[in-house]
Amino acid sequence: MIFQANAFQELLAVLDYWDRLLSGFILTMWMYIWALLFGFILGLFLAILRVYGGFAFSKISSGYIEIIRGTPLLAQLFFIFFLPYTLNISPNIMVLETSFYLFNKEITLKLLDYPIFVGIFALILNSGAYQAEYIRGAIVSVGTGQLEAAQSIGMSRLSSIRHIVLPQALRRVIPAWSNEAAYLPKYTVLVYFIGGVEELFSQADFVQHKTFFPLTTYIVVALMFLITITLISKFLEFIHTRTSIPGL
Amino acid sequence: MGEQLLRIIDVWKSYENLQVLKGVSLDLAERDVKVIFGPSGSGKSTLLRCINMLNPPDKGEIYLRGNNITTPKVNLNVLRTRIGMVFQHFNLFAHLKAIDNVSIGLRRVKKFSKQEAHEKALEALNRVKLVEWADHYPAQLSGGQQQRVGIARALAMEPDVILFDEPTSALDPELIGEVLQVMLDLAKAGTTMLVVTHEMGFARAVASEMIFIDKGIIIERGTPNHFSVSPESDRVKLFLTQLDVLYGSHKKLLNDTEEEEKI
Amino acid sequence: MLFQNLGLGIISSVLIFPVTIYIIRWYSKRKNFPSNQLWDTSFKTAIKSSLIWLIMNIFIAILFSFLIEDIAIYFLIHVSVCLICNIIVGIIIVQNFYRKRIRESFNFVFIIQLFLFGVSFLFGFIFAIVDGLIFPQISNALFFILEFGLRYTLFITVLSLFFGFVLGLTLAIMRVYGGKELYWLGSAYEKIFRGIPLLVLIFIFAFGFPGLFWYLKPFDRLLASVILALGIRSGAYQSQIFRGAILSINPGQMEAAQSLGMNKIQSFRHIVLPQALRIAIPSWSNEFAVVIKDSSFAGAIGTFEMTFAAYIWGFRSVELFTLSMGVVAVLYFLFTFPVTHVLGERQTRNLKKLGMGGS
Repeated sequence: MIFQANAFQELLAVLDYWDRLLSGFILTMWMYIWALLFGFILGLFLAILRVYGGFAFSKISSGYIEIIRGTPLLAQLFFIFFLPYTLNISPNIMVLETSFYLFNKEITLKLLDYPIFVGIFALILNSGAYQAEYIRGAIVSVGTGQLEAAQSIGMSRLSSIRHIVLPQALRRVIPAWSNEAAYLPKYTVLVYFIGGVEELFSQADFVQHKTFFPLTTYIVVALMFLITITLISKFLEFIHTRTSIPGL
Repeated sequence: MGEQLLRIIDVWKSYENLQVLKGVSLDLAERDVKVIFGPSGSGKSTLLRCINMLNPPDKGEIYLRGNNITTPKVNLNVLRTRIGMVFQHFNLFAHLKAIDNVSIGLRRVKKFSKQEAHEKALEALNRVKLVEWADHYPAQLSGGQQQRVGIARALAMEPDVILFDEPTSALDPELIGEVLQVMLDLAKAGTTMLVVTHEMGFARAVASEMIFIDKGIIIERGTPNHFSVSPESDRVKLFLTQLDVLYGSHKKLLNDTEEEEKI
Repeated sequence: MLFQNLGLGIISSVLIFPVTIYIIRWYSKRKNFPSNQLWDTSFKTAIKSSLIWLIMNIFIAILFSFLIEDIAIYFLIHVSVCLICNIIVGIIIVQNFYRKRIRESFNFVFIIQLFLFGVSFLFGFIFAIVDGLIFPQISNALFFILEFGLRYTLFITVLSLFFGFVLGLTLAIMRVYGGKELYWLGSAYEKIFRGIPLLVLIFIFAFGFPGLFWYLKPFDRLLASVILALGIRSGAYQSQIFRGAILSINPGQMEAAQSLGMNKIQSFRHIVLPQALRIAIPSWSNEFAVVIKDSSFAGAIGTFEMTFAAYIWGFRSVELFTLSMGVVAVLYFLFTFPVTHVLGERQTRNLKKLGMGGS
């Protein structure tokens, strides 16, 4: 300890870097939203393939899901990051930057460049696999009877999946999906390992190096995550109760 | 008043805002068999649960062999070794074989040695005629067999009285007979039993008194003969007719037993 | 080089065991072998003993990884010990089940084990030769990662899981049987430690409390803080698992136990807990997979474990990096996949057979 400061002073010192924390938070949320949305699309695709795809496709789908779920996200992240270089392709991602002023401080946000893209991409692939499992469980819980009934009135297989099974399955998956959606922000911190991404955790690293108060810094960041996740969770609960149908 | 094994005096019990038992009183002598019946929700099961203090009564007293068991000082666990209970849904311990289901109380509560507990358990299983199934798990037994194991489990503890909470209500019709047969054997052997059931035939065969409860109050009580010949209250009459319609099928078995008794 | 590849062959043969068992089982079911007791129950015995062997495998792996340095010798001894233990365990199991047909069943079990081992060893050997001659880098990466990081990964995983188990079970009991305050406390704990990223938690313990674990060497301190963080987080998840399992048990069981005269503690310990633990196994195997994967974060603060080892090894050149990451990913997969599948789906089926699949 270079000099002793009480907790309140530490907090102020950390909060002095609020602009950094804010830009980190925005980037985290930015990555999270993309990963969630596209992860959902991927998951839906994989789940349908797994349940309705016929032997070959369902094996491919379940193989993908098992591999992604059975390996650490970190390893996947590294693997994807270095893949282009291994294949001797030089990755060129369009860089997207923006900045704005808030309370006399300029806040710059780098919204897209190679590491950010890799991070989002890896999260999509990973979250997609987990979401696929939840959606698959929901589809299975709807039961084959529904599909049979739909087909017996003449609907094509594709049509019955789309109009009968999926609406029910998607409503049933909401509790489990809310779980995944609420906790996904936590996983964005992994991009810290590939460097060059200034999301909340990496900003925390920067801030604690400047302030020499690691404990306070990380606690502040932890609280930010906690509050965000709780809010997302409550929001989803609210939506769930508002759109529920008796019996589903 | 020492001759009465069990005395229930003016018991009241409510759940949330619902008054389930409103001043019920009952006596049970040694070797006596009494049957409680009535519509669902009338408080019959609650009464049984008050007796072994699973849900203690709000007001009123219960005496077992002259001792007040409703006072706070009573050791409930010791008390429950003297009162046996057979449940409507059997409640067998799914992870234990039949023999272990019966012996676990002897080992863990009465602290018998493994050997002794095993022997006593086998005796109990023998009384319910299930010795060959001792090593089976509950999931491998039929409903009737499971309930008989439940009865053996209660028997093995050698309680003063056994409470039966609708023992056959959850059984398929063809399986009810075997359980009733066991209960009849027990009654004939002198076991003190307090049975909640709709099986009128059983009641007529062995009960010394039948008690009709509705909405927490005893409406009418009397010998089985009284109820078959001339029930007084209209509610009782209505209930008995409903039962007749529903359970006509296997009354024959019990009628035969009844005839046996008369001889 | 040949020695190393021999070791690699043995690794894969060891890991092929469960797979071959599945194949044989599936095959015999398809062929509709006459289901007289001998076949069916002998099969189950063989599978049970192999399962026990798998678990012992893990323990022996941890034990030996601390005692023996040379990875090749380690695996040689490991496999021999496992095989012997397996046969002994198999004999014991068979003797307990079939007092009459000992010799027949024993022969059957023995033949199956020999057959499986032979198949897998052959497979592994071929793989080792191919690998040694064609892809030497894979085996180099593999051995480096294993030698460097396996023991730490296993150590971290096992300790964190154990810590989390104790914590989780306690919290679950608090939430189910405690009063309002304990319920709230357990609930708050769970919400907090599920809502914080693991990495943040690790950093808090590793760098936020420099005085923690003062009695350990500096390197071990990092390890300890990782285990602490992982354990606390795993405890939060496991409390959810156990709470669900306990609640899913019919309250009638508790009533029946109490009506025999057992007090609450006894009824919980002898009746509710054994069933709850069995019910929790599928979800728990999932938690095992999660913890072993999350142990990969330990490398972030400088403790050695498999992913970090892969990172170091691959650092020398970019092509190697992807390769080593691929290898370590496969390693993690080999740890998680058998466990989650064997303990997950099969256990759910077994539970249903025992009638314990929830209320």
